[in-house]
Amino acid sequence: MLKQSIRGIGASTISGLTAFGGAMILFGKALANLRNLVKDAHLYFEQARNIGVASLPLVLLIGAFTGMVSTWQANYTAGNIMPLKYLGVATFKAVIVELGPVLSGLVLAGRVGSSLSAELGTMKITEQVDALEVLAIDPVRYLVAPRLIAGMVMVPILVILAVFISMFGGFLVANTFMGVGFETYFGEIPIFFKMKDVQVMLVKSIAFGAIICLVGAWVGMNARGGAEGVGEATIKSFVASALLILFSDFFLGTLMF
Amino acid sequence: MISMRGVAKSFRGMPVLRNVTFDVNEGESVVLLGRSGSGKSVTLRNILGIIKPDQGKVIVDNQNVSELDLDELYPLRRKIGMLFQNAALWDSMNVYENVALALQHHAVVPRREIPARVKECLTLVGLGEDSIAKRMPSELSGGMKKRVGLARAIAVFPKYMLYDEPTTGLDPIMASIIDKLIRELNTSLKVTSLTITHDMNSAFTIADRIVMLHRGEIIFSGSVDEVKNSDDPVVHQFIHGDPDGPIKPIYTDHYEKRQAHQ
Repeated sequence: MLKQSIRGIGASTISGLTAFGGAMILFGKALANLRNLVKDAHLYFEQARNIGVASLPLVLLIGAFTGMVSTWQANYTAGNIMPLKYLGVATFKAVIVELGPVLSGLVLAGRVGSSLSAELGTMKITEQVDALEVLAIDPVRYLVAPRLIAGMVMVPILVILAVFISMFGGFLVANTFMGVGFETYFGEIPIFFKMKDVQVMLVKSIAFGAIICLVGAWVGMNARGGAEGVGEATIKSFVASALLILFSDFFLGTLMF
Repeated sequence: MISMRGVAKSFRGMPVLRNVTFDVNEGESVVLLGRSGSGKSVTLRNILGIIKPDQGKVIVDNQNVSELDLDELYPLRRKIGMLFQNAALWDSMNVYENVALALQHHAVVPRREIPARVKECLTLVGLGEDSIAKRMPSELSGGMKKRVGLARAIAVFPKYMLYDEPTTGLDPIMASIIDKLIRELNTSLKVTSLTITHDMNSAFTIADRIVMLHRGEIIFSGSVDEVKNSDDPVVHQFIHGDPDGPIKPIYTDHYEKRQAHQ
């Protein structure tokens, strides 16, 4: 029993390390393909549109509700001891370094990461990836690099937009339910604004973009079996991305503050 | 020339190829026969360098594929065309884009000549109508997909063609059309071809020579007439599709092993 458990832990550790190593090699290969950025620009723009523009409505919706809930909670938790003019600052601080990147990241892990692993998984299983290889077209250059780079560029842009919209969502709640005016809500933000907050948001967003697209691509490119394999890859991609987002959020947060 | 010399390959300790040795000479059309799971697809993957053999050499165009790294392998692969069993068309691209992609990527012909080359290849496989070029793979029948796959493979002027079960899943008429196309490409373009198939009619139509793989080993190599007249019981059973003989269904093998074990 104990032997089996140890063996199981060992096997899981080895497979986890193998996956991590494989994903890192894929990351390196994809970055090396940046030398073809100009030549393959159309592929990068196409993926930027797929990842960025297509995800915009969802991210904005999440952003708006995040801001609304944050303002409501800030008022509920500290309304008795905190003047209302700090509601905007409380929402801003919560959203810019934490809720904006993390919630957007988790939503994008579902929206972008899962669809990426399903797309590449289907291509792998139906030999479309092999067809690229056989025609001497590097699948990493053609499929992975554009998605990864587009993710690392577009996720921060989406997060910035989500933070903006969440502030307006928060203001809507503050104004409607608490009677807080525009200047009162936003007036204190410049005083408490720190450039570091923006840096943390950007670093986290870039990292989350890389995690979502790298995990999605790696899981997809290693999919096996038929439709079941694609389904499994989709789930695996979302779970792994979500866990890595939460882990790296904590890690980056402690490292940067 | 494609040459396999003493190639062995195992997966998780299960030998799939054992000491496989055969040649496909320049301009020759060789058909590799064998049951499902006999190692035919693994042979093709070794030739393409997608997998490396555990032992032996795979020589294509005077280069040892198993010793090439990816940067050396890609130039070699540009000389090889492959028709996949399910065509493996890129389903996010239309027919034109499928055929044109490798031409654009490798600048095989000047950019302005790509449309003409695509048209030429599609016409060669009987799909020259303009409306077909705009269709997506999901709008094509199985036979049309195979023909587009063939057009895509020949567009880059391959010296070698590999066909993975080209007639599987096609009706007899479409299978004959594909066989005829393969034969024509072999004679008119002088490409060296290796085809794997279960379809005996197809094999007899397109082969100059037939090689049979059984349990990971080459058990026969000869002309179409020699195959037809072979008294090897395995070859005889396979080409006639007899249920009784030395080749047993996989479940029977498994059952017998279990019986013996008990």
